[in-house]
Amino acid sequence: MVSLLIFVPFLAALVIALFEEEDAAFAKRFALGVSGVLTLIALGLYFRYPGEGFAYAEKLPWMPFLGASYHVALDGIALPFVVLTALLTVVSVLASWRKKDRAFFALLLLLEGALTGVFAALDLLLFFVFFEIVLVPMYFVIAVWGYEERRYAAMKFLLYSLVGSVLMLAAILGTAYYASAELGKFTFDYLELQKAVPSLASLPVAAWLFWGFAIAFLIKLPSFPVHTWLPHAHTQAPTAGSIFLAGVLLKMGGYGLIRFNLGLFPTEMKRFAAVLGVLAVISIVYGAYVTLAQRDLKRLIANSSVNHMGYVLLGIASMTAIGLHGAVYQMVAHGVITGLMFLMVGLLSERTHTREIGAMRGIYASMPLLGGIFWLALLGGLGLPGLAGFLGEFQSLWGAYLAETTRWMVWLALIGLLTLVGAMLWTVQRVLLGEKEKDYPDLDPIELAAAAPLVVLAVLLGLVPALLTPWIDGGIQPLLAFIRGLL
Amino acid sequence: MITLTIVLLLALGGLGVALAAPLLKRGSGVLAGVTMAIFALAMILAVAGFNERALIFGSLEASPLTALAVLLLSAAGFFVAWGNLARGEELWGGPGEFFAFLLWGALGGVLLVGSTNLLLFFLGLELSAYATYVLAAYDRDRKESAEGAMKYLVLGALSSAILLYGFALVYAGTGSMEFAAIRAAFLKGAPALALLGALLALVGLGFKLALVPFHAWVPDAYQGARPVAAAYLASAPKIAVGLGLAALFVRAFGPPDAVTQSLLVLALFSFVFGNLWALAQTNLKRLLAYSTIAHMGYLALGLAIGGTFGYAAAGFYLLAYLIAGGAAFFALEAAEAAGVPSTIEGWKGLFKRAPGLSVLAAIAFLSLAGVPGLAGFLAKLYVFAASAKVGLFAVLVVAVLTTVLGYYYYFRVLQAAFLEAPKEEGRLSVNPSLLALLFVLAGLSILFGVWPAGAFSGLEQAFRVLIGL
Amino acid sequence: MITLGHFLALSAVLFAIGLFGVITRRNLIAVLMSVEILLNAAAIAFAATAAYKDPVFFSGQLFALFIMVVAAAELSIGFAILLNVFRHTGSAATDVVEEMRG
Repeated sequence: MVSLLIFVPFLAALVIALFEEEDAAFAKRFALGVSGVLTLIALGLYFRYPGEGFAYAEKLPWMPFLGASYHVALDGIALPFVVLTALLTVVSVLASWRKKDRAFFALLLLLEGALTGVFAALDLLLFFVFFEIVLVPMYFVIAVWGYEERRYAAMKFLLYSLVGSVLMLAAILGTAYYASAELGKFTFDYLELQKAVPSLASLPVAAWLFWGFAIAFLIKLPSFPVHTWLPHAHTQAPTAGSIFLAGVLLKMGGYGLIRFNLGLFPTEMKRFAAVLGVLAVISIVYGAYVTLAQRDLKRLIANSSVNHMGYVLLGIASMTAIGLHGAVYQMVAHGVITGLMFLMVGLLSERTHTREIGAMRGIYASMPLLGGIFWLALLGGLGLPGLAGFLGEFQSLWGAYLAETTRWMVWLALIGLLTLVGAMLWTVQRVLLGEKEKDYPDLDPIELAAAAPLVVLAVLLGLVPALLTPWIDGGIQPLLAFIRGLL
Repeated sequence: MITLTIVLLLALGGLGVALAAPLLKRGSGVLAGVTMAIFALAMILAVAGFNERALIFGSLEASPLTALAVLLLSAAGFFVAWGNLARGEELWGGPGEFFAFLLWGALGGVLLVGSTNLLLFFLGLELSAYATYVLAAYDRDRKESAEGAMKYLVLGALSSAILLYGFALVYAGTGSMEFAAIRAAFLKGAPALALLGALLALVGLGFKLALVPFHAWVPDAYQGARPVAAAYLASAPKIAVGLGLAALFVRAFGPPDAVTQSLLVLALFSFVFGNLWALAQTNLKRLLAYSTIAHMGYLALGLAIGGTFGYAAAGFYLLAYLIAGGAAFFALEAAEAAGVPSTIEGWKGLFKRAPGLSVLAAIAFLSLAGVPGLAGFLAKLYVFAASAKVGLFAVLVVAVLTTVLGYYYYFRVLQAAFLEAPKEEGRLSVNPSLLALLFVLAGLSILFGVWPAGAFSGLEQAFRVLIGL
Repeated sequence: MITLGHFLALSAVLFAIGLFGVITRRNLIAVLMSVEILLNAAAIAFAATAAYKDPVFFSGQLFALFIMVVAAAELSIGFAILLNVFRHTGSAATDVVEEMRG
């Protein structure tokens, strides 16, 4: 089942590549159909989750001479992201409905398959392979269909991510090597490596292995100080690209930190929790201030992601149940809300032909639908209770407060929080409110269809956390039990 | 028996092709076809006789490793002959010698890898080298071809001489030319003279493998040669010397720590500097030349690590590089034939003018860069895993970081081809047989990238047998 | 008493001369001649070792014969290429080969 979600998009992309046509009429409908069906399947998997631990496991031999196998499974942490990936693919296809290059839709499908693979992989090498595969279609999406500085942004994205990836590869190989002493064989299987965690923890090299993984994930998250690729990549990417980037790609970082750094190196995580916490707080505060200073609307939202992901890192660094819960919740919520924000900005700038905030005014007045949805998204972005963004931030902060090491950071984080609230509200005022300057066409049915699921989710996840919480718990409880047994 | 048949096939086949050439009319593809058939037959025989163990004429050992050498060298020769099918009529003075030397070059490599004494190793090495000198110089009408080949020959002859002198010292130190006896002497405690000889031999082989600091001939030789010939230069001698080095190390030298550590240092310099120098290149042939140096560095890393897994990883690297590197050169050939100069500037907008060629070339470049899903990625992965398995982590970290450089310069080419606007408009007509060749090579890159198990276990088997003796 | 060591020393000296020649000589013909010297240096070492250390099989002397064949073959290819260089550039100086720089 899980393999379907990973490989059907690849096959679909191949079909699109081989089906010759001038405009992308078949391609976009086919992509929509495939991703729609996959979303339903993903939702089916979501609601049939047994409630705890890993489910839907599939294991096949891949490179037995190396100890690598094709091992995929989903737990409560991974499932929401898989659903999110599928859903955001649908949204992105709809958002790009006016594009005429079938290659674009093929690349979106490739992204979907590879991202699903990242979240589902339980073999470290398999995880790495999917992690790397994600980079190539994303590079082309930005480089070919992006805006003025797309080549620079795409190359910066590629190389930054690559440096992190290769360091992670070294750490993966190192982990397998050092674990082989304990396990008696060379293996990359996550579940088997977990058995070697106690012996790994006692090695002095564990810190290096920890940081090898951590650097890669901090780059992806992104956390200060390795976040500088993000504003370029998000701003220069086409709408669908930004949606994928912000909605899903960033989550690979948080997911990786929880799954691998926390899951395989809990002692090191505890040791470096303060460092990660400080980085988190800087991201929150600095990210918020930079957001405040932006004149480019897209760049503003991009920088707000740095702030939002800071809460994720803070929650993870707290190493408390509620903090971790908040981190995952924040990731899902951010995916929905920032995805929605980028969607709206994309549609908006298509109409106004600018991304300058100073050039836009009274958007709500001229386009109530688009303006209204954008307003909702911005409120979600600032963490308004009742919308999805609040719960994640709140729980992360609460978890950080509960933990000794991170308690003092909460106060600083609040400064960042308030600053971001201010930035978002100010954006609402500057862009949405006021007298309308020009009449623009409002959302057409396709665009509305793209936005609708995200709007619904943004509200639902804010009002009915029971739609997400039990799943997250099902994922992190076993992990925490495992860690408590060790520390 | 089978191996002997292969040897005779290659030797007599080459002779036959050389003699038949004047009888055929210029431009006929018969010779290329015959050569390809001979190589194909050799590959089939090699697979059939993979597990044959025998000693031919007391000097040549039939073993899985020899069969492996036949397979890889014949594959290289097969693809180069195919690539030449397209431009056969332009070869001055008839193509007979071209194809004859392809066959004899493969023969030289087989003899080299299967040898059990210093003499046959040297003769095989020389034969393989002559083939490359001739092929590098074959484009008589281009000045760069002559100059590049001259430089290549001088440095190649120098390296052969250094290797030969090293062998002389080994002989003087151990009193025997037979690998078995030499190995016994090394295991007892390498005599100083023999150890010096072994190091000199490593220097000589380092030249052939284009390891830093013996790499100086590569960029000029590759730039001067026709891309098809460069494809051969980049693959066959590397295969022969790579496998030969493994055979020499295991059968003859031991190898002692001083030798493997020297090789490790050479490897390190090669993948660091090779990648760094490639960054500055805008001429695609030179870019590929410097990146070859880097790839040989990764290969040498696998060879230095040794053991069944290390050698198998190195062997897989040779395979992946043969496919992808060859494809890259053939793509340059196809582009040049259609009038596109081999520079980054020249390749701008190639996608609009020749989409099929661009995509197939892209697959080759992505494999060389190491994108997952293609053979080049697994090749690097296996070498890196081999490093991890023996605990060489500092080297591993440097090695993985250098791959980022590779991504940058390969993607720069792709950027030019796919993102930029072309200088001239209009579709290019690309030679269909070259396109077919590129298609096959791209397919192989993907095949081995997704299903490496068959190839890798064959490689492991070959080296297990080699080491097990 | 002339020992193997003397021959090896002679061989080493010849090797050094040859190496020096390849690196420093400015005429391509001289360079190829230096390569010949290098090969013969090794041949001397082989033949001498065979005489002193391998009385039964004399493999080294056999190797020395083969080296002569190899040298001849290699240099004939070398001169053929040199002729082609001469045809294009009109000189046999080494600096013509340095022309290609990227």
